[in-house]
Amino acid sequence: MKETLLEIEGLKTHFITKKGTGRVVDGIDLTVYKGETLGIVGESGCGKSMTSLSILQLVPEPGKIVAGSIKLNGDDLVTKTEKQMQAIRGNHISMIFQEPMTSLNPVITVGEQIAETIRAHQPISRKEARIKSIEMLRLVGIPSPEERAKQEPYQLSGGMRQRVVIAMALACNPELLIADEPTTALDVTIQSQIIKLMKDLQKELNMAVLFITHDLGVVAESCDRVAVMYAGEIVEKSTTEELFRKPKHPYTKGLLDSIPKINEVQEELTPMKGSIPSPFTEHSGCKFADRCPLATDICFEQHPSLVAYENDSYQVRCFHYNESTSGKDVGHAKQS
Amino acid sequence: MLLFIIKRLLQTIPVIFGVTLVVFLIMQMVPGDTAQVLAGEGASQETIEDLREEYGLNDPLHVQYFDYMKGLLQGDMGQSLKNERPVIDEIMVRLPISIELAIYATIVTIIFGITAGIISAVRPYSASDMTVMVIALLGISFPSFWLGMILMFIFSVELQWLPVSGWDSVQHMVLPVLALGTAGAAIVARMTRSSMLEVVRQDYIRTAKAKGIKNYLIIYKHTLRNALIPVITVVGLQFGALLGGTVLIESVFAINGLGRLILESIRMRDLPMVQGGVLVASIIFVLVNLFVDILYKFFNRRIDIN
Ligand SMILES: Nc1ncnc2c1ncn2[C@@H]1O[C@H](COP(=O)(O)OP(=O)(O)OP(=O)(O)O)[C@@H](O)[C@H]1O
Ligand SMILES: [Mg+2]
Repeated sequence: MKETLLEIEGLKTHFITKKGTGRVVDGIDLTVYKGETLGIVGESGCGKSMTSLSILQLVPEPGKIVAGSIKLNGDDLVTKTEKQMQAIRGNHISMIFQEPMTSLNPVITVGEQIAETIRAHQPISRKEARIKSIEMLRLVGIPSPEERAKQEPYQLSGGMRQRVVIAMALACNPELLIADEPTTALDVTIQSQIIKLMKDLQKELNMAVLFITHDLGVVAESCDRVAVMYAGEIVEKSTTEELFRKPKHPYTKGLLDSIPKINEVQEELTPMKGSIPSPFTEHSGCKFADRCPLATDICFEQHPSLVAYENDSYQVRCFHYNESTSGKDVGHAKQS
Repeated sequence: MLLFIIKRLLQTIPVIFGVTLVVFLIMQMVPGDTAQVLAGEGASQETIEDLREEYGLNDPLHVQYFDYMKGLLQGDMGQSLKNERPVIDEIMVRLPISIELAIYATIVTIIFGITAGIISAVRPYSASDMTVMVIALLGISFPSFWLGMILMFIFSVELQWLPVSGWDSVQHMVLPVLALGTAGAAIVARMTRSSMLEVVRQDYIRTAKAKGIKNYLIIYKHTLRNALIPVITVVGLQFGALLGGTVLIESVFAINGLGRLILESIRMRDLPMVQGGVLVASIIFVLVNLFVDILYKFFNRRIDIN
């Protein structure tokens, strides 16, 4: 039996402004098990980063968590005070941000930036923290870490900086690492090095990873399970294998069709039409309806809920998906 | 870096030529006759003519200027027309007082300015922020000599807590230093605030929060260190403005500094003295700016390279 580490239930993070309410995260349920890698995929703007910032209680103004719970080992983070959260951030849950080039402080040496994280959570001396920070730099594969520790971020290349960011995130041996597009800004060779490094370290340190990306290739490479997000909601959730074998939600199919496949003869790449709706628009029906090839009247009138199929082995939010048709691949049949 | 410094020092040479030339020309435009002033009230025409001859005032202007520059290049600033003492001696007596005044005022600028800026930036748009910013706005709006007179009126004349004028003790220094430093402090406060609010929005501050770093460390270590870089430039520029301000403040508080010396000499049409005073002030100004630029370059090296 897999042990639950993080359990998100009914999470809603809204931006309440004069122009109206932006439902950036609009009722999300997610479970992360100990030691696994859960991927969250979706187009830009669907609320992936806001979901991860919600977990750390770092949603920027005027955003607010308006409903739901986020339980870490059964302990709800939403009700915690800022002080209590400080003890959790960087210690039990760490985060690697989307922008590796700007996420290090330009005027503090990289060694110190790692050491201060350790000292924020462990009662050790400056010197011990420094030694530990050099160890961390060595762990993430930075050559001559003693010298590098004394350097400032501008003296390091992009790939090196991302390694430093990883070292910083792992310094206190967190149970959960949230990686928000950790490789998007890096070039391809460095990208795969970093992903491999993260996988190795995950095994070594036995932590769970919440891997956020819009790159399905990266998902295939590194995730055990995947949640597909669309406009603040999860539309499909399953194991990575199942998702690639047989995508069920029309949006997931669209995503898969819009990326080139290496070992298949590709007739044509079909980019999805339309774009993601603004979180400020009101929906009475399915949020994907106006882009969906399968949409019928009901899709515009009622909001579908996330339904579990086959003993909860996967979940889909679509009126047109049911187990009886699950054998046939409706959306794909129509397109190919 | 060394190249940069040498280049900047070489740039001061035309500045020195320019300054002397401008002062020379302006002094020609000051109404009145130098020889007349020197000879004093009721002197005979003959005496005045003699004096004019003696000091070379009959020579064409360019000859007068080149004579002066020739002396200057040999390290001779000439003698005061008033008391025939070497200009350099008089300046050396007065300059330290002005430097003292300027340095204390700069310290006030830095300490009050940065502290107020931090108080504002920590809770933007709060009551404390608003209070500090209103005071800062007032501080910028008041000319320093006017503020000096108000302070003098309140604390020296009415309350009689502090001496009216002079530069003999700490009590003497309080009011002029405050009057001179306030405008700068106000500008630095505003700059510190806006700079900190800018830095707070940076990704690396979010990273620091995500690491569980405590609030005071986020403010003093992560935010302030970055936010102060542009403030350095502002302090440097303020120091320039402040050197100009010493002239007025020294007059208001009757402090015998360089600024007051220059003013008196202008009144006396003591050209060598004015030349010397302005020249020394300009050189100090240029050197301070160079120093500030070096500091800025040093602190900004991480940003430059990106
Ligand atoms: N300060 C804000 N005020 C209002 N809306 C905001 C604000 N910040 C973000 N949003 C909105 O929140 C939504 C979700 O943003 P989020 O950053 O979570 O997207 P994302 O899925 O991470 O996208 P990306 O792949 O581009 O990183 C976006 O539609 C964005 O417009
Ligand atoms: Mg994002």
